[in-house]
Amino acid sequence: MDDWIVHEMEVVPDIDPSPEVYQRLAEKKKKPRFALFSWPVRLAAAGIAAAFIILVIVIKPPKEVEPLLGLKRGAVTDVAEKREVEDRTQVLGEAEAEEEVKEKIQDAGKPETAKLQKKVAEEVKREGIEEKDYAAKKPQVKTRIVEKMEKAEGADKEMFAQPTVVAAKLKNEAAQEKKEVKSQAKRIGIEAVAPAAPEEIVLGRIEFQYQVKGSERTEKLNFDSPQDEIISLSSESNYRLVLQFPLERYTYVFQVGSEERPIRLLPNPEYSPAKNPLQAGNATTIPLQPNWFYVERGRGEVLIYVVTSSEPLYDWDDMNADIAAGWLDRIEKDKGKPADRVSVQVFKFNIH
Amino acid sequence: MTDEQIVQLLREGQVAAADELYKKHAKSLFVYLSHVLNVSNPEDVVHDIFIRVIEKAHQFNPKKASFRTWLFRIAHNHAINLFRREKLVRFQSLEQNVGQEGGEIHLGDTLTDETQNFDKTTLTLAVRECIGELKKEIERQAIVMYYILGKNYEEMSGVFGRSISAVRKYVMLAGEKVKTCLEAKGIGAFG
Repeated sequence: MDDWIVHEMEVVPDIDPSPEVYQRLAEKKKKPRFALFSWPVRLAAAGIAAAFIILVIVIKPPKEVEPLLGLKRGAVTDVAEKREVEDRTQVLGEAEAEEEVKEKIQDAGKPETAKLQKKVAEEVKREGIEEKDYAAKKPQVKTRIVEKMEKAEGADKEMFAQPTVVAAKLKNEAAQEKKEVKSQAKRIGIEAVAPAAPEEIVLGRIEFQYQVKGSERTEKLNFDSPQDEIISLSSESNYRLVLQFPLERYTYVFQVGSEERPIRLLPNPEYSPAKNPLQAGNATTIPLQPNWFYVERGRGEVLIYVVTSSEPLYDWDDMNADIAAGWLDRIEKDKGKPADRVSVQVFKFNIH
Repeated sequence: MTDEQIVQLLREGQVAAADELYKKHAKSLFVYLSHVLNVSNPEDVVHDIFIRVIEKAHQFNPKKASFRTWLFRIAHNHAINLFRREKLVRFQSLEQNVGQEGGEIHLGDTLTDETQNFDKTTLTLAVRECIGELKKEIERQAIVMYYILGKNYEEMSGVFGRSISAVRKYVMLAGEKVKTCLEAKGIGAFG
């Protein structure tokens, strides 16, 4: 048998490396192996990855998915709006009626001060009030004009439905006058002190509106009233906010979901064209009517913070929608400030 | 050049390593493959195995096994894969192939002096035929490997991935059967 194997070897023809063998060697020469692929490095990388995953799980346990902030656009969905459209349809036709109501809703948020100022200026000019008497007589003129407007402008019911609106107009004008008086006082070298606005008037109206999935009925809740029962919204429910202040207010609205990552709802051109400061008496809806935020998915607690101030706060107007950490602490600190200066309202609801 | 040096050169992509590799191991591989596979040209399989060796050169660890053990383990696994994939039936009778066009191994082509080599050729053909008659694949592989690796059971154990006693058992069984077969053919040279 030993002879057999020797002979077997002898009779095998000489075998030379094939071109492919040389080619593979040449490729190997071109591509040096990196240390990255060596086993120690692989094991080290795997260890680091495993440690990172463990740290993430231990330090930050998985939380519930934050509900996505959706924006629903389209046809009028509010029942009251629909009813109004139906009424006007009998007069105008369906398309025109819906358009008119939409325009009306949008116009409700436009500033009125320019209109009022113009009227006051015309009235002052007509009555021939002299410049020296202007400061003293102007408030009376304005009050008279506003009363006239209340009577004459029946179409502006939306605007004047709130009892605070008239006061708001007056307060707004008073604030402007205060500035003018201050300016004048400064010019003539005396100190002018204007009384602060009453707190209850400054707070104004902060309303949470929502529609539960499957129902077109719009429920309304005020932020400042105590929440006896925390409302719970299912996915595909709608909600929005309505803000209206008697005085010019810098307003910042944030939504915080279960991950505590805030979303700035105002100012945010994506949801509303409203800019700071919000004008006195104007009803600002977030998102702009007839849009709604809607809950796409997720579950957990959602907080909505409405921070209002007589002065700009925190440079938030220039910040990105994602707010840096620590913003909530600043809000908490501001809770202690006088309400006419900074007001922090929090509204809570659940998503299931 | 030692096997370890060859492997080092293979890792570096040196062409000289391929020449040395073929010079030292190509024929052994050829013989082994020609016994365990039924392919028209074992030389192609030899090239395939060497390409795998080049690709895996960085995995070779001389502390675990000798290069020859590692090489034949690759060859053995490759043969099993081929066998499973293509259901290659091992040898037909060698007598049908020798000297024929397209035959498996052209032993006759390599004989320069028929008279001088007659005995060796007769023995070789008989042994091949008797090994071919072994029904168990593992016995065929064991008996061929036993002679190719120089009767080194430990190395065989490394190649087959089985215990030394198991490998010895296969060799003994195969040897007995081949011996009986050769005696039946009037050749009693097994040892």
